[in-house]
Amino acid sequence: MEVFQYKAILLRGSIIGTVIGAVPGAGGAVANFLSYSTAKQASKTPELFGTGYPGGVVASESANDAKDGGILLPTLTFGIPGNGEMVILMAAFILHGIQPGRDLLVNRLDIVWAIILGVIAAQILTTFVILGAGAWLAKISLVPVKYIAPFVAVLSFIGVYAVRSNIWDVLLAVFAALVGFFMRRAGFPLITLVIGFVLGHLAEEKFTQSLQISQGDYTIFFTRPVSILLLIGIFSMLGWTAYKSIRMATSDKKVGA
Amino acid sequence: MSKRIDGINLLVCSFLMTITLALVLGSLVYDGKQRLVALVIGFPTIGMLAFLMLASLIPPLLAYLRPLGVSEDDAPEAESEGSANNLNTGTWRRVAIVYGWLIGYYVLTFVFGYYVATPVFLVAFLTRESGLTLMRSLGVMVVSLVPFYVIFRLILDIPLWPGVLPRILPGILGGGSIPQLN
Repeated sequence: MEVFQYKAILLRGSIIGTVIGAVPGAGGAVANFLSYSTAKQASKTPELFGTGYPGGVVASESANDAKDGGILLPTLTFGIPGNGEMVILMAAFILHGIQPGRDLLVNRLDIVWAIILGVIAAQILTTFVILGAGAWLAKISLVPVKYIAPFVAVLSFIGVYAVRSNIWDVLLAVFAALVGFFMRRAGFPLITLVIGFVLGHLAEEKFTQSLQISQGDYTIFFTRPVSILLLIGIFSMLGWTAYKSIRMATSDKKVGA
Repeated sequence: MSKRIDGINLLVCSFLMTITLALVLGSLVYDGKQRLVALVIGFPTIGMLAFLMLASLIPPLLAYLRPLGVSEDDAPEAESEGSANNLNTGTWRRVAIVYGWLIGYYVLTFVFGYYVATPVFLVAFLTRESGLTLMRSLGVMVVSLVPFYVIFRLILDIPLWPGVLPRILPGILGGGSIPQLN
């Protein structure tokens, strides 16, 4: 029940998750990171984020769960699948002769309601599973690192190999571990690196896709309602961060003087 | 703030700069829009890394990055004074040992494959580093590898690397069925 101590973060994360989920192609990772970074920016104690602070967990997980509802929106209403799972859902619809979009919402509302109830039932079931197993799962964090480390290494080695069945990828991962160690030592924030890795290729892909849609016209990034809203959001967040940092630096100077 | 030159930061930034330059310069051979993404993202990254390298040599410069949101708040390790340089000999030794285990596990996997390397690595690590007895290590290894096998082989059906030995000794170790070395 500790989660309800972070009502504002929970609400914000849920809204971000739903909205981002409704944007085709953005996916859960974007919702997670956006919610996390927004919660960190808005927090009075941002230094606690990244140290196991429950607020950070609530921020990313609330967005992650909320995006499942949002992601159904473009699939069911416009027939635009937001991610891989929605593509499979759409394929199943089409196999059964159901066309997502207006036809589905007008003539087959029973299916829409079944999906909505299914999502709700899944959330409730997951809650019970986690409430039942959570206490046991949490005990893993109490196991000393010297016992956990070899299993993490084995899991990482197999996991990396499983992606492309390429043994050289594993060597690259071993090298990346060394680079990661030095980056941590040099004080590089982990979350920024992860965001770059996860969102980097998405940004590139969507950038090129947008240019293809506009036939090479760059004004698509400034003239479309969604893109202009996103740009306003980005610059607002950057501006807010800069404002907070400058204010913090100024107050530090005053305290120092 | 420390006035000393931040050696580790300089090393990491130099490494990242090398990779970034390679990617950005590599993208220049493409025509038109293909290289645009690398250039749009690459030049700000190069600029930021160059500034960080300069800041490693002149630490007070880091204060100018605060308005950009790059601050000590983002980096837990950087909070303590000079923490980037406070790795003593013992810590380096520990890092070297752990990294040695990783390299050893990789070499073993490369040569003998996952089916041989993983049990050997687990038993060796648990015995030498975790301080378990040989019998306990063997027990833990068997119990823990069963779910690994069930998940990766039986459920996900992922063919695991069999090692280069079957390739060197075809016929004896089933070299006909090994995947290509990419």
